[in-house]
Amino acid sequence: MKLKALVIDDSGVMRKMVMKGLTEAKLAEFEFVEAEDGQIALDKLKADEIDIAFVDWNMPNMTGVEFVKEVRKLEKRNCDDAIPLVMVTSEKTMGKVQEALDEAGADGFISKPFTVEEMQVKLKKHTDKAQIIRSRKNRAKQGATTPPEATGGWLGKMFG
Amino acid sequence: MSNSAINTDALPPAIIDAVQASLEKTYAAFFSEKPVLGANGQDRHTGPCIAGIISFLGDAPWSLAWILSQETAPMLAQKFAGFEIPFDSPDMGDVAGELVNVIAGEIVAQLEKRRIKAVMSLPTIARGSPLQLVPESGPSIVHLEYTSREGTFWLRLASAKGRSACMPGKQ
Repeated sequence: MKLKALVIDDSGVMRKMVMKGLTEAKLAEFEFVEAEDGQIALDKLKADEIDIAFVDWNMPNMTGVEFVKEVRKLEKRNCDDAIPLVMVTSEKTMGKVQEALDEAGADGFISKPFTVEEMQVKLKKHTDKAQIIRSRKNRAKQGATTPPEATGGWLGKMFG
Repeated sequence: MSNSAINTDALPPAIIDAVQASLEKTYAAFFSEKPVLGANGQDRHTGPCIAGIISFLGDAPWSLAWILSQETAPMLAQKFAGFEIPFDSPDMGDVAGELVNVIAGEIVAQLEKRRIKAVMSLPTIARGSPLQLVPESGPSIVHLEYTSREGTFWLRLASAKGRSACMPGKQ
């Protein structure tokens, strides 16, 4: 199952490196969407069905942590599933890790420089979670579009 | 000792130590190598260069520039990004910015261990032939010259004038 991954970093080279690392880590098959800062990412997230996001911290306009807080607020308001949000950043003090994970609501944290092996270890649970949420969304969509008589389930029996 | 003997422009040694430790750790992680620090601190970059620059605020305001020559930059960029990046391309600015950003993150962590608070800015990029960062020398400037397999590069540390007296433990 293909996951739509939003890669957010103000450095184009770093976005390419994250995408290359994720592809080589083979945790999932990805379709990438890129954003240069948190504000652009938020717009892309609203317009597209994003399954997972990899977020830089220090960016102009809207930082990564501000983006994470905003996404969590939106998810709560809309009663949406919380998609995995992973910080990919040069910040590495304990205070910053806590701020991202505990205060903002990020799911994971990976420090630059990262290796493919590190990605495989640290990101697996997040890509797994993204796949579970994607399956659930796909099933819900299918249920909404399939006529009751074709479902074969109790709805089909009732209305078939 | 009279007060005039205290140089408040000079960068605290703890910061220089943290920069050196961070550079060695970050460089080893990216390029699997420990670069060699030159014996003297002269600023000898004369040809076309690019620099990633970051400022730090906190207990001691200062800035760091990672200066790469036209010869060294593409070698480092190739290893860092995993693909070829020409010296004159905009992507080279991204690489210079990202390299100094990563070392700055490590510096903040190293300074925290030394009980020095620091918050880093976003990186900016400078290019020039020769690259001129002012002031070029003086008590507030430290130049570190490193040599590695990829070539020679420089770190330029500049303290914000007269603020090092605010360091913890100093009166």
